[in-house]
Amino acid sequence: MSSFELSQIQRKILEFLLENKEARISQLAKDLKVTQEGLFSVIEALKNSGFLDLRETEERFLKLTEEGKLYLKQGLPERRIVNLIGSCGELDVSSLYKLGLSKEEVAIGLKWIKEKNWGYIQKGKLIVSKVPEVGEDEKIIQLFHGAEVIKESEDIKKVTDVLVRRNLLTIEVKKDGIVQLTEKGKEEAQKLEKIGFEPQEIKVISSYDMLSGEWKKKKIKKYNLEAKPKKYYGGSLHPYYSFEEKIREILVGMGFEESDGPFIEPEFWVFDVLFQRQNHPARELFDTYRLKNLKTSLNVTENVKVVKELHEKTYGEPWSEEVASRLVLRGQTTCVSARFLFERKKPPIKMFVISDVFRSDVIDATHHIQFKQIEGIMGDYGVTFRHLLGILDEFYKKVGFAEIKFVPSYFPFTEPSVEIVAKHEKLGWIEMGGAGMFRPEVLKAVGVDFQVAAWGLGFDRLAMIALGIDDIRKLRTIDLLELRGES
Amino acid sequence: MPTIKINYEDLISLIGKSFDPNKIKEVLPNAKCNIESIEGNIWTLEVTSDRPDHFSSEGISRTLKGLLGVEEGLRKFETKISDVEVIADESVKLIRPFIMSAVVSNLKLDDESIVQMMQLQDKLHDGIGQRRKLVSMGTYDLDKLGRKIFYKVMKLRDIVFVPLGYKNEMNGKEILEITEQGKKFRSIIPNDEAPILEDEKGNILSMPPIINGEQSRVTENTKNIFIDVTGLSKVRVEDALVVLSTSLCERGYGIEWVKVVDKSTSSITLPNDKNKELRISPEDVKKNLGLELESEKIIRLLRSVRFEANLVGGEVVVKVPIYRRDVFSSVDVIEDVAIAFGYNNLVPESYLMKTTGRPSEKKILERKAKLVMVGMEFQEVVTPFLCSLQKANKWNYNLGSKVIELENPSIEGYDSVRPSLIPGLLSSIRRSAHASLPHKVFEVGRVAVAVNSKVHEFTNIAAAISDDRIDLGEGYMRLFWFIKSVTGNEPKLEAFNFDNFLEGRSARIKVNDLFVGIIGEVNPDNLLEEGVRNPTVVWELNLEKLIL
Repeated sequence: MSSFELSQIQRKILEFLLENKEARISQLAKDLKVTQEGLFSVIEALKNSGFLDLRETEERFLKLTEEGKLYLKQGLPERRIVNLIGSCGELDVSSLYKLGLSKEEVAIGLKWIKEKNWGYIQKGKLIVSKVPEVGEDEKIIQLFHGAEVIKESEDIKKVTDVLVRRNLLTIEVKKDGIVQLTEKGKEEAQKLEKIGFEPQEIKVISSYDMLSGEWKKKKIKKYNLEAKPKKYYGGSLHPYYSFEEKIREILVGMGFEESDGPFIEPEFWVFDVLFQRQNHPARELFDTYRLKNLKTSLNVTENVKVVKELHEKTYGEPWSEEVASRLVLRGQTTCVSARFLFERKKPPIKMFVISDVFRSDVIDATHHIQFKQIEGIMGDYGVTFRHLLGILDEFYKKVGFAEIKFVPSYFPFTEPSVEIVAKHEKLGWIEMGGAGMFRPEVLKAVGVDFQVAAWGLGFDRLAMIALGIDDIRKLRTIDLLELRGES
Repeated sequence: MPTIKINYEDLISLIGKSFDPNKIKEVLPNAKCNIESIEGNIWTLEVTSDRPDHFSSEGISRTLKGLLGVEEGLRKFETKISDVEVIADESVKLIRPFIMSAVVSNLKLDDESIVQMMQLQDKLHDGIGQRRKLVSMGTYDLDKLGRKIFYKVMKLRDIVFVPLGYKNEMNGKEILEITEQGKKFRSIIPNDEAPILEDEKGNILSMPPIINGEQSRVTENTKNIFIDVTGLSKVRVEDALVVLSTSLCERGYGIEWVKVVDKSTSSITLPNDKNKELRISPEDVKKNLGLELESEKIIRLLRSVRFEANLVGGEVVVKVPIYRRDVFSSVDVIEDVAIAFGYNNLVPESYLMKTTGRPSEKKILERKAKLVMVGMEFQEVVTPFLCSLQKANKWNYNLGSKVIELENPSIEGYDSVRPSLIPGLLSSIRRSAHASLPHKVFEVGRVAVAVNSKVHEFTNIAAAISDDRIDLGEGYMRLFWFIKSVTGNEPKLEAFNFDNFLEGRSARIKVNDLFVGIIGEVNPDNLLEEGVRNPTVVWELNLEKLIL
């Protein structure tokens, strides 16, 4: 039993005893304003816990019978008789009746005169040698002047027994006890004294409680651990972005520096530098979003002449600067690689981009008009196709695919070109994206003389797998219910 | 990439040797043909646009023969000059100047071979033909034609013949108005005239690039086919003719090139049927692939992918088959070496490079901005770069700028570039109507507008709070904290009237005397229009200007 498990009344008892050393239960009951019987059971519990010693006592309370009350007024019959006889003398027993005593009283009186040895009867006469002093029994009866009940003290016990026998008194026995603290009880009481004998129950500790130390005097309500917490929604990063960060971390860890470029680009950087033939299906309106009424003027430093020459020589058709200066939403991030090489020009280069591209399409569970690509290039004099396969292998292992395969493919800007497929436990072989060695024409267009391995990998597919999403539209959800994980 | 259908039985008969279908499935990817689906004998393949010779089963069978070891080295075609002649009139020069022709003889055709021939023509039309604009072609039963073919321009009303698939004669105007092809391709030719092919008997054979005549239709009984290819690009006309005639030749005996005589100059044009020659060395292969191969091995590999290769003075001289229109330089041949070697036999290798990986400065800034927002318990959302013109115009608060529109939108509601992130945030709040309040969302993303016809693209951050009770102050205190924690500067507000905001409750945000964004309580009428049911305060900043 700890202090906080003691009931309020128990704590009050301890408090009282700490102050008063010991207490009589009857008195305690009065002070604490509880019934004595109730108090007994409380004290019993404290005693069982070893906090208290209890000395049980009994008290007797005296009360006059009807007869006793009569004698309180008139005096005992034996006294009345001796008073009639006077200081010394004698009297006919028979005349006693004439003096107003009943026959019964006379009999009782005579019996007790004899018993108390106040006189004797000789030849029909009662002889009293002297008027007897007031006896102890009479003194007791006199105590009832002004008191209904008196407590019996030890010294009058013998006399009261006689009076009870004479049926003048009745005795009521009351149980009581004296309590005092044991050592353990004292300790407990002192502990309670420090924290207060009457602690408050609180749910929350205030800073005042904390700083003042008041919290120690308070009972802290136990938290209901079964109860559900209140609803709470903090801020969070979008899962789509969080996954982007994961991929970024992998690539940074592999020694790649990040770059990006504008979403809106002239066709020059999106197609022409990348050796995409003009009037090619991929440049057509049904693939690429073009801007209405907007064009840019190509800066001559942007290798326009080189590109024009390369195209016209290889494809045997006139190259149009007007077509190259049309603005489009980029359909791949390879244009960022091209711009990066054009600006940097010095190997070694390891660069990546995780950014958005656009395709004229429909929007449904598997198609979207905007998605992200993971673009990368690795450029140096000694970089070969096998190094490209090596870096792709390393990347997909880090992303979590144990097995990947390389399939011949075609991109206008790479030769050889390769498509990467990766094995997924449940989904089987999945197309991941394309890669290859930049064509000599592309390298010439951006003005570098070393080899460049390049790749453009699908980001959204990886994100869908990682996030367990099977509808591409949910990848960029804007619904707070979904983002809070409640739908 | 184009998708084609082939018949497996037909493919096997073209290969000339029976193989387990699984073996075919295994080698097809090495021909850059990916199986999309198989239904009975019909295999649907995704092929690559650089290999028009793979747009039908004939060309695929040629490649597979090499990969399967049935036939290696260069495919040689028996060629000669045909006795058929095409005479090109001067009138075509302004409309559709180029024409090339060939005859493929001794054919054995069936339903499937006609299906494949039509498919090949369709795919060539769509691809290098740019939907017949740059190149179109026709095939004819030669035995129903005369030997002199005239290519000239005629008035539509004077062009009269029975178009392919119809029973009655029509004039040119009717053909453009009535036939499917006429309606689809009429925009390619002038309004009142069209090029035609006519034989010396005066029969109009076709009206390129619209439709052929019924009279010379190719059927399974056709033995000799006349091919015409017309167009605006000589290179492409030649590409298409060579691919089509070499493919057809897989079911026949030889190709006869048809002389095209320019009527005004009498000059003669014939397609170039010389095999292109390229030289590669083992060093080239090593430099590109990282693979050390001896010349003999390179030669063996190249023969298996249908090149002719011989060692000449330490270099491998490669003869390119005439149907390989995709081979421009040595790297194109080296890719074929890699394919013949097997991509998956190439052992991936690490390249050690002294570089330091790091995110871009821009991403570091964006990340910092996002973390401050998340710290203020905002939820990040990601909304599209494109939106509707109406929304874009409504939320373009960039003074003196215009919204950028797409020339060719593909979906309603995504026809313009967003000038602001705010409409995206409001749609997120609308979509989240069932989520408990408050709604605190933000986005970091690109926006763009045109100023004096010049595109300005920048990265913005915008935040919105929508709650039962919310006002400018709630937005301002967070904006203040955001700017202070990202830049160390303190913003000032300057009154700014913007229709979408409540008057007296909107401002431009100024940092170091530079306007960096706006803040405001969205006008309740506007909110209801957007489907937002609670008062909403928004702010938007140009992240790049903020850190200037």
